[in-house]
Amino acid sequence: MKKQSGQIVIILLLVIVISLAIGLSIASRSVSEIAISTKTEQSQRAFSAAEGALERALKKSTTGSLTPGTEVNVEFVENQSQATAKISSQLPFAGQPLEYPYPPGIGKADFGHFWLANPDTLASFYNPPGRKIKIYFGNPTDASDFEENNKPAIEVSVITRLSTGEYKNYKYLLDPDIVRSGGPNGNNFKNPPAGDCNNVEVDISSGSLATEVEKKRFLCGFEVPTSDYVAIADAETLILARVRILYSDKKQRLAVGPINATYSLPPQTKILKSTGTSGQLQRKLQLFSTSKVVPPFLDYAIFSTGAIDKSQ
Amino acid sequence: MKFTAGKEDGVTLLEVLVVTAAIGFMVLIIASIPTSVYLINQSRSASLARDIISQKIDALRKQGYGNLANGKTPFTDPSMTNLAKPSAYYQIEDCPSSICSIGMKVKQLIVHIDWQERDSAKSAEVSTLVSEGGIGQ
Repeated sequence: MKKQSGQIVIILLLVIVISLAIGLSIASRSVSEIAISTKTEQSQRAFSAAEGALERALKKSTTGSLTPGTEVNVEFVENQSQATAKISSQLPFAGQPLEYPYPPGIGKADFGHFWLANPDTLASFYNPPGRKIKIYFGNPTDASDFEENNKPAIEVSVITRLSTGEYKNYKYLLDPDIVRSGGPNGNNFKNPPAGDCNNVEVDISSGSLATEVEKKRFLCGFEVPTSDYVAIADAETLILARVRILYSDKKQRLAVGPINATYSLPPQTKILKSTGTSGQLQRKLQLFSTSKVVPPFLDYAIFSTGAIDKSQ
Repeated sequence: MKFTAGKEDGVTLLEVLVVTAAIGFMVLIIASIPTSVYLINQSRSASLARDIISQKIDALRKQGYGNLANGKTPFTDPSMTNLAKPSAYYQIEDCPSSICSIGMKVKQLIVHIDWQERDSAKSAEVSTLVSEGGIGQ
């Protein structure tokens, strides 16, 4: 038999392999697109169901027919989705600070709103001698979201009511960055008391029970007004505190609390958690609900005891 | 008698098998490409429809409970031009008794989009609830 030689089989095999590779990649792309599309669809249904459950829980809680810890269930049969929502207790618990939810934390243009009087009647609630509150703010230096060049300063507005029925607005500007606050080009903010900005730890519960505390850490924690500011007279009733973060582009932690555990801020906030399910997917939502918040322009309004002369 | 071995023409069985297999693979792969492309386009259309639904739900929620009138209302979205023969509507009705108690100020919101994919009709629908004084209000 004559010896035969040639490369056609190898070439054919090469063509087969290349074609297979191209075809399989297109097929796998379509399979992954369909899988992602299906998951996205289920995710959206689960999210909408979770929102629906939150809405129903919010409604029930405003009518007083939802007790903390009780579950609210919602099912959309045709949409193949269902969700469960639950409300926490009214926060803060007695003697504990109230934390602005973190994440997401509070950004540069946001105000944290904290009631010091009863939010429904404005009756006196938190009025310790000296009329001080404790402010906790900033991401601690050992946290992954701390940045030295994003160290925050704060503006605190405390609104009080006099016995005559008039209201007063106290503003405190505090900056833990001594370089930024001092010097000829400094912002002239006051500095927090020495030692109060070395990472502060405090027990706060955001759950259904006061004992479900977590150790929350902040960059600074101190009482306001500080000794650099005029004290608030005991004859005045504390109404509310508004806190704004300055200088930081990053979201920061924030909490306001009583000067010690023998005093308490009024209950003012509910945390609602909802879990929506569709198919194999779950979406979880959390809502931080404060029933009464003053409009944001309050912080930018100019207050005057008399008419403001605009002719000058 | 003397036999001499001569030149042989023809194709071996192995060559036939290899060629058949090769052609078979090629046909299989080429035939699956249009189906794969169709499925990719289909999932993109479905994703677009869901985005439109999601934005509509957000917009309606922001309107607030008081501005949501019961009924079925057609709507359009600029993105719908990327779908073939699209039609969309949202339906608002009082929260069904299976979910909410009677008199509870909650409405059920259903947003629905239909479109054509080749010769088959496709649709996407999402349901949620909006209450008085609810999220974002």
